[in-house]
Amino acid sequence: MAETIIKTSKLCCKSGYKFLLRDIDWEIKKGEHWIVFGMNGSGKTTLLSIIAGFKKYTHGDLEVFGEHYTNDNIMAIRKKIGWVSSSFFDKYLRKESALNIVLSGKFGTLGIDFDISDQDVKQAKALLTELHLGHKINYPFDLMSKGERQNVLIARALMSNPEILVLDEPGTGLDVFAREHMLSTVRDLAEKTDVTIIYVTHYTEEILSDVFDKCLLLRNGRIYAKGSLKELFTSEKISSFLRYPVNIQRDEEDYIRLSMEVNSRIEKLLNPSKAGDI
Amino acid sequence: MEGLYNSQSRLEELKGRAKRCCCKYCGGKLEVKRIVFSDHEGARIEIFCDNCQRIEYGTEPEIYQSAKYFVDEMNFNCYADLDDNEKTRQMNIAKVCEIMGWENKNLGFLTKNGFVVPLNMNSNILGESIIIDDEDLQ
Repeated sequence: MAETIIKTSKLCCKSGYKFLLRDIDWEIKKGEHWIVFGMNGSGKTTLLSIIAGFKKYTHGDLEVFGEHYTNDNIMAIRKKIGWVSSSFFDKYLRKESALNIVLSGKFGTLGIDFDISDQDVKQAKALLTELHLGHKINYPFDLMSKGERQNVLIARALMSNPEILVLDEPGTGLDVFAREHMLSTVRDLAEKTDVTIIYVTHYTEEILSDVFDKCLLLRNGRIYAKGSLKELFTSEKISSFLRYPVNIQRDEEDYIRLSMEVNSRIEKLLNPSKAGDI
Repeated sequence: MEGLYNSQSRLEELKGRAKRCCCKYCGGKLEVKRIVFSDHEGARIEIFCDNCQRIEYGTEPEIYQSAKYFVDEMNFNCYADLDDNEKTRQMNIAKVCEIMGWENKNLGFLTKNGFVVPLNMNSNILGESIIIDDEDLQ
């Protein structure tokens, strides 16, 4: 039986009077691949930044690799977690070069360290080149496009050969080619390594059904449901989760397609004389 | 190596480095800053250059002086595709600092605690004046 590598019990994160997360009970075993699905503001990034050791929780319990975060182990644990989250890193990284950001992944920090070897620099450059950023190695983060920044963070996450890979909306901002490349990298990692993957997305077409077998639905900081992706991703369950009727279909390649009817009132707003009552 | 992954020892190391080193881009003073929200002190701090507004590990001041001299006096430019402005100049100085730091580290002259050999710098590189602050006088 696979070992549990992440376990949260009644985990809460409170900011002022508001609970950003409440009573999160979640267990992830080694080698599992999870999709985390939820609307904006549902607490996804908060939950993942707590798990990755970059944010503190206020109540409950968290164990990563069987340990609580302490002064003595936090840097070692962080090193084993590759974390891609532009909504987190965009707040802290600005003028740092792409190369230094990727190198910082080796230590699970935001800055670099003296103990960087030539092999590390070669690996960081190879990762950036693989992600089509070979010509922007010395570029400052804030001069890069959103897609390029996303790829820098993916390279950073892979720098330490992580045991857990946490991808927080990694497809956001990527062009079609870059997104397919990223998904192919995720598929390769899932199939050829025993890395545990947590993948957050708003877009069902990014959910690789043959890779991700587990799903966590997060709403307003609480777990709405968790379990098998096949069982949870049905029209009925997702409509109930979103509180809006949606249609979930799987195409011949097992990609999940979500569709919903939304009627825009923009024409009425722009041409009130034509439209009558608004 | 294990100490590196201990939050407390990292804190001490970064404090020492911030006090001794300077920014490899602008040569400015570095400071240890709390960057992320965490319970564990060493895990939330990084060395920061307030002048450049960037997380910056820094370089030895002697290396910075040499690199600055090399870029300014020898007209070194490895970013010919970028505009010729102050930002490009700083990127060039930082690049030379990286090369010099790499070389000194590999020759065994430089460790994470600074130079381990006495330096006898060319007076041209040192320039006409040096700034001594209150901490240095104590």
